[in-house]
Amino acid sequence: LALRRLVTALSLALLLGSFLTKPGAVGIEERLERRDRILEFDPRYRSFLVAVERGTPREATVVLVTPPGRPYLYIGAYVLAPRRVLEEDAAVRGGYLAVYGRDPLGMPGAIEIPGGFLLRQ
Amino acid sequence: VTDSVSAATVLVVLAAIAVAGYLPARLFTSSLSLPERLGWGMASGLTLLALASVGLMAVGLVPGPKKLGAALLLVAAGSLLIRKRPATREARQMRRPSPATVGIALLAFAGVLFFAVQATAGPMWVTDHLAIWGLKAKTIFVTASIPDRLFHDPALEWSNPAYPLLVPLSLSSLAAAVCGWDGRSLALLYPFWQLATVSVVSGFVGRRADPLAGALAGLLCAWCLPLYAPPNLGTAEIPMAFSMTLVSTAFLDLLERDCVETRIRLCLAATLAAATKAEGTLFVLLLLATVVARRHFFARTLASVAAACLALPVLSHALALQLLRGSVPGRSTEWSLLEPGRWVELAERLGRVAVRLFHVEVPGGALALLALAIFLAVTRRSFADALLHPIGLLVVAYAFAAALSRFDPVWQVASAFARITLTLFPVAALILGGRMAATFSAPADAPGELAPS
Repeated sequence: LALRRLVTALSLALLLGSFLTKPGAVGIEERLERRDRILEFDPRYRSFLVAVERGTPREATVVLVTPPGRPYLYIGAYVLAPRRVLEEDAAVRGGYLAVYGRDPLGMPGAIEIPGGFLLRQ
Repeated sequence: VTDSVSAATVLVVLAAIAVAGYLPARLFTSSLSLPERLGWGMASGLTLLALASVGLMAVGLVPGPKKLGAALLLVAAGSLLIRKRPATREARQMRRPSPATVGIALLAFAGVLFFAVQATAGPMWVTDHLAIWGLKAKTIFVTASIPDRLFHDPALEWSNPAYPLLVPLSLSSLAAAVCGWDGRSLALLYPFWQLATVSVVSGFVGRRADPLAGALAGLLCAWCLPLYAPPNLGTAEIPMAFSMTLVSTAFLDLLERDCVETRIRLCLAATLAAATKAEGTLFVLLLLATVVARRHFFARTLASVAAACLALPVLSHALALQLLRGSVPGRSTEWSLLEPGRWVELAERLGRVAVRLFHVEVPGGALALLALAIFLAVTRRSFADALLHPIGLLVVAYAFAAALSRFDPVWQVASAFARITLTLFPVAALILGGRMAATFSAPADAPGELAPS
């Protein structure tokens, strides 16, 4: 019985140890580091989204034109919520076109904003 | 981009929610230990907050701190008018915790504090939060409504419109209660769920088996770092683990003693599990299958009662969702793979899932799995072993669901299997606690308690 109890205690210690030594995808130090991970893959995108948020009403539909990659769409939809955010290839009338990473190049009606431009369609 | 709400404000509001929930929860938790009552109080408070928020939005009002506070106060005060059942003899006779138990409980609480510090290190950032849970919650909070487009807009197809709404409603109602959407402070809801889970696990094992074993089970649960990790902040995994724990404890209590209180608890917990995520519904249905398959072990009435307390909440929740949003097709499962004409393809996909599981997932958790295997091999059986089959079957069901995915099954396993399987750890901790108590407190010649009879 004593051996059984010893093995039980050791197996529990091993289980707890496995949690502490392999805590998922990130290490302890990284877990406690204070930072905003949402936009760290492209910090310029934040100021662009803030400008789009300020330039559009809450009930607006916004077509986001961004570099390829789902993170741009997901982050855009989340930050701009409750606005209806659509991908680049969506055809919309009466909404806004928010283009990231490009200059308006004299496009009529386009408003230059940090990181891109905004156009009411 | 977001409002600024201090973490202290959120902590105060969460404490108020727990107190407001504790009072009505007393009506169906008189036989439970204090930590369990606290856990149920937290669950009740959050549920009442979400329901109050939905009720206010349904009559066109904007949920805010005053209205939500008044609603919770009304329910809490109303519950005081209902005569509470006296604490049962079992509850009164609970032993005072030993210094060792208190010490271990404090270490468990340190695990909750550790996670709370991580939670507030930055805004919730994981993709599932941005694309699913947080997006819905923020939309509900800002519009003070549940817009139909969350379910039927093709532009939001990637946000899994078929998912249940308890997590988004919990986040949005908390945001309404603190008057702002701040992804950093709102993340404190997750350590709150962790604390509730640890309380229920340690309280339940302490009451049904042994206080020291309960404290150890709570410690294991609190320091399950792969579950209580930043990538799970803002998603449904941590609340899922909590509702599965509530269902499991209520289920085991009902098997031990069928009374009005245990029936209420099982109905409420099954509803919460179904309202959190589809995995919760599946877990409840597997418990139901366990009861049906082993009905000859139980008294006839008990099997029927347990089945009803598990099935009716799931059906009611499905009906309520259907009424709220109409039919929403699931986007992730390819059901046609179950047709005989596609069985060869299904078998090939199952093979790929198995290869991924045994080459990557199992080696990744080898140490923990080895520890669990040794533990199960050397310890005595306990009353909580009734949960072994349901959680084992649930893991198999997760693997099968990956093979049925509309996406690449290997990608499905890589992205979700470990994460959703980890939500079962608090339930596993109940089994570990039960077995610890059976092994350490039984005399040398005791055969060990058998699963419910």
